[in-house]
Amino acid sequence: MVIDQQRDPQIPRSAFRAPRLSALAGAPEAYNYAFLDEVSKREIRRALLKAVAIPGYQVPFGAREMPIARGWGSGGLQVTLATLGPGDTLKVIDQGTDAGVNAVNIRRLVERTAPGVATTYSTAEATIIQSRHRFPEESLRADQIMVLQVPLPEPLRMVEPRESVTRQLHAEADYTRVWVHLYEDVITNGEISRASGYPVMVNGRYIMSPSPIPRWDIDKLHQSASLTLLGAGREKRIYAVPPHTNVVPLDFEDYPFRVEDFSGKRCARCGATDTYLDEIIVNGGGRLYACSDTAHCDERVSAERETRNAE
Amino acid sequence: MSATAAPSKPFEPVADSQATFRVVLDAMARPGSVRTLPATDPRCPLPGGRALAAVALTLLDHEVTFAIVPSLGEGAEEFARYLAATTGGRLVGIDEADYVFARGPLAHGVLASMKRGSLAFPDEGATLLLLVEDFETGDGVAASLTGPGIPDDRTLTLVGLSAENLAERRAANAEVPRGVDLLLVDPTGRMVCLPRTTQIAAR
Repeated sequence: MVIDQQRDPQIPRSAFRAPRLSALAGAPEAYNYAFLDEVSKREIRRALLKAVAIPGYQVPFGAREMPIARGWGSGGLQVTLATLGPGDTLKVIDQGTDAGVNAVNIRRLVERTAPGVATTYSTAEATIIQSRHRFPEESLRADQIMVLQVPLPEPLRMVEPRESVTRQLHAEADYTRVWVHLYEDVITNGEISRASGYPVMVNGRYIMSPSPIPRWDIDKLHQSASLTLLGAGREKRIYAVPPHTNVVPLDFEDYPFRVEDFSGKRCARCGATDTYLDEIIVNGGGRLYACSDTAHCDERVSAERETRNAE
Repeated sequence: MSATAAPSKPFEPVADSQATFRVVLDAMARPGSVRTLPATDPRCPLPGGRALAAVALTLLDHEVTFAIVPSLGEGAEEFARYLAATTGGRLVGIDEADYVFARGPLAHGVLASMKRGSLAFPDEGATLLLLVEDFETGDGVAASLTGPGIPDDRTLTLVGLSAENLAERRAANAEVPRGVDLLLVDPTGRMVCLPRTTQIAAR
């Protein structure tokens, strides 16, 4: 027997109408301020204070279910929501751009559930910047807080799969296996090949994953004017780098840490030669480079346009 | 914002917790810098403790434990009852508590008996919330601070900690990363944080 479900008179039309997600979620007013309940916020806040007090140490916390999937910034989002309040201005970055789907969704959630919080694309205007995999090109100020989304917070996972063991290795500051791993990398590849999430030593005590930021951004963590908070929702860890703290990438005397090399390349939009560039493959197999930090690029483009108009 | 000024507005659990947390977070990230707490709880029965109470209400709930050091003085017992009733936190001994409330300077042995966490879980070290004399008028130790959160070094007059307390603190934080984190709050709502990583040298 074949039933044409779309035309069968006994099956009501409404059966095929997917309920709107907004209807399922209910009205924004039904939620507590900034989505999270107060018990959750308090736990995250307690974890954040301990994280700041012990730079680079991963504080366990009970990551809550969020309206985005774990691994998509739920940790950073929980840190942001427990931190922000009326008067804050939030900027959300997804791999350099404010217009990425991850950034748009997180920004909208905050707009709907946290009245009094403004949102912006501008780095200078922001008081809190939540980011996936990039720092803004501009240096941050003391009154700004950087929140990084972290998929894999454990820098020792590449050498040891067991959490019980990596915790003990951190406890004893036994990092020999990481050094051996980097040495093997040099032997195999001629250099330390780690492209993102490059391991760093924080305050001379903990090896830390800086989240999957490129090497280009590592120096922005070192002796920064601003506080950096890192949240890993799926792995249930919160950690932090206070301002004015030493953050040193691991390297060898004869194989020093170096950042991505963009010499001879420039942004196709704004012409910048001093920014982190994305490589774009264009029709015909050619390559084009453009600023990864689109807000910074936009500001340069519009500044140039104004200069040209004034002439 | 003075503790004697009345009537104060009631502590608002959502907005005041967030505002208080932001100030504490900033103070913890910049040890030794003096910040002003934005809220108080006028219900607090501890004389001079209304700003301290705002920090307690921001951080404590049924998931954590707290202890009261007897030297907290007049109103200590009422304060313990008030914290248990308003936060749901569980009152325990000093050696078990996540949050310890005391008046500075501390009696000998208090810092030494507090939880310091383990090497694997140093975050289980206690937080000491110290009610101190007015930061501007109180007697204190001239100190020079270094460590994470401090560019070069920061000088301040540390109120509420005796030279002996500083030595005990050093001993409690000697086995890095285990240790105790301090919050100093005065009756006017000014606050200083001294996380375990801060090195204090008397000047």
